[in-house]
Amino acid sequence: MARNGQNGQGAISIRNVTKIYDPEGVHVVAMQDCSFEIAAGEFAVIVGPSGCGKTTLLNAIAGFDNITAGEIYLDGELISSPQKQIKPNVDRMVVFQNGALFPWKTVMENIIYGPIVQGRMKKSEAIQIAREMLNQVGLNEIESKYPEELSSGVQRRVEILRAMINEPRVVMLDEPFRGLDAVAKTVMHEFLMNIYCTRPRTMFFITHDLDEAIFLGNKVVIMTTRPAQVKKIVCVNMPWPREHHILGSETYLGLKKEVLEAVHEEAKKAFEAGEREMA
Amino acid sequence: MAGNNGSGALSSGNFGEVYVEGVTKIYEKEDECQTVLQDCTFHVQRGKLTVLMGPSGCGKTVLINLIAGYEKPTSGHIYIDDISVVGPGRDRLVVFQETALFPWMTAYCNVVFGCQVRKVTKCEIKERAELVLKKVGLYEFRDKYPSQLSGGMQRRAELARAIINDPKILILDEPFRGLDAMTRQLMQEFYVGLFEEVGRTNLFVTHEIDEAIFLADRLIIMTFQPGRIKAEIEVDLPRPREFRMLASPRFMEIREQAIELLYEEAAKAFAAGNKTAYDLVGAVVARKGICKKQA
Repeated sequence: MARNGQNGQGAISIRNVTKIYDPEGVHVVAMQDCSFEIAAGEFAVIVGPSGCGKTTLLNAIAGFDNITAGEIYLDGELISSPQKQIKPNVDRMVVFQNGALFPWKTVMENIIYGPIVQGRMKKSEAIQIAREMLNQVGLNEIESKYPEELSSGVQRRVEILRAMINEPRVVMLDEPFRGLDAVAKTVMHEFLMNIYCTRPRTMFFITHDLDEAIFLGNKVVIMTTRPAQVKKIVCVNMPWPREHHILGSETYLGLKKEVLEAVHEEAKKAFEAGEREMA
Repeated sequence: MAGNNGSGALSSGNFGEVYVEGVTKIYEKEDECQTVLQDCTFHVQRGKLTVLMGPSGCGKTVLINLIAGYEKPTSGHIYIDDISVVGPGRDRLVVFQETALFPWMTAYCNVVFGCQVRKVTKCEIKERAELVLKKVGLYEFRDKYPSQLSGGMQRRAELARAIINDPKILILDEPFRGLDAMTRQLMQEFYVGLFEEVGRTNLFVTHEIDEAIFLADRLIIMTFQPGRIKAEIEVDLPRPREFRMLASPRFMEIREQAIELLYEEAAKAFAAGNKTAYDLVGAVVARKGICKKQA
C-alpha cells in the first residue's frame, strides 16, 4: 500500500490568507494575512480561542469554502485563492466533531464505501485492507456492528479508519475527541498514534485541549484571537510513538507552559472582546 | 486565605460543613432495584473547596440531590453541622449544570429574586446586589436579559444569584459544562479567585480531571455503579491558584494519581458490560503493559 506521507506528499503552504465573511454586510474579518507551513507527513495541531478561524482554514484546505485573499498550496499545487478553489476530494479527508457514519451500514460497509464507490478498489481488496486496519487497532470484533451499537469513542475511531482507507494526502480532524473524558481520550490518543505511525499522513488537527496538542503533535500552531494570525509555532521534539509517562517529563512541562501562556493570553483577549461586543 | 475567616463583605463568615455517613440510595422500579449509591461516607470541610469527581453516571448528581435535600437516602444520614438534612434549605444553595436563570427577568432581577422572596429590605438588597454584580463583573450588564448575555456571563450571573444569599454551603453541579474549553478555563480562574477571596464551604462536582485538581483543596473520587467513595486526595497546590500551575510537576503528579484510580473504575465498568466502557478497555490494557504499541 502506498505511504503518501513517506513518499513526501501532503505538504501544505498557507500564504497570507485572509478570510472576510459577509464583506458587503457585517464584514467579519475571521483571518488576516495568516501564513505557515506544514511539511509532508507532519502532525500539525492548531489551537486557539473559539472563533479564531481554525475551522475557516480547514474549510479552505478541504475545498468547502473559499478565501478572500492569499493562497494555499498542497504539494506545490495551488488549491485555494480568491480566483481558484478546488473541490473537495479524497486526497483531503475531514473527520468532523459530530459523528458522520452511515447509520444504516455496518462498520465494515462504512469503511469500504468510499474506495468502492470511487472505483479505486475491488470489494474484496477493500475488505481485506479494512480488516487489517481494524485488527491493528484491536477493533476486529466490531466489523458487523451498526454505529448505534457502538460507543461514541468507537464510532469516532471507525470514522478515522474510514478516512484513512482512502489514503489521503492530508487528514483533517476538527476537534474529533471533544466531549470525551480524560480516560477515554487517552485511548483515542493511543489509537491515533498507532494509525499515524503505521500509515503516516499529513495531519491537520484542531483542538482546544493543550495536553492533547502537545502529546500528539510535531508542531503546535497557536492562533491569535480574531482576526486570526499565527501567534506562535511550538515544535515538539519528542520521539514517536509517545507513552503517557512523558506527560510528567521536564521537556513536556516546559512545552506545556509555553503553549499555555500563549493560548491563555489570546483566550483572555477573545473573552474581553466578546464582553465588549455584548455591552 | 482571607476568606476563610469570613472577613469578606460578601459573606457573613457563617460557613457550614457536611457529613455524609453511610449513605445508600436505591431506586425501585416495578420489580427492579438499582443501587445508585452504596455506603458513601465523606466530610466536606468548613471553608474548603471539596471536589466530587467520577465517571459520568456514577451517581454524583444523586448525591448532590441528597445533600441539597431534594431526595432522601434509602439508608444512612447527612448532616449539615449537627443538623440532619430532612429537606431543602436556604443554608445550601445549588448552582446547576445548565443555566437556570429566569429568561423573563433581567440579570439584576434574577440575582435579587431569592432575597426578595426572603423579604430582605429593599435597601439591603440594592446594596448587596451592587456588590455581588460588581464582583462577578456584571454590573454594567445588570439590565440585560439572559439571552443577551454570553455563556460565561450567564454562569457568572448564576454564581451571583447563589452567593448573594450567603449560603453556609455552596453546591455546584458541573456549573461550567457546555462552555468551550477556553472560556471554561477562564471561568475556573474566575471562580477559584472568588472562592479564595470570600471563602465559604464549596462542594463542586465535575468529571473533568484538570478542572477538579485546579480548583480543589480535596478531591473525592467516586466509583462507578454503584457509586461509592473510592479515594480522597489532598490537593496541596498553593493558593492563590493560577493557570500556570496546570503545567507544574505537582499538578501532573496528582493528575496521574487520579487517572490511575479512574482507570481501575473504567476496567470495572467494562467488565460489567457497559457500552461506553468499550472505549476504556484499550486504556486499561495499555496501562497494564499488555498491549504493545506498534511503532
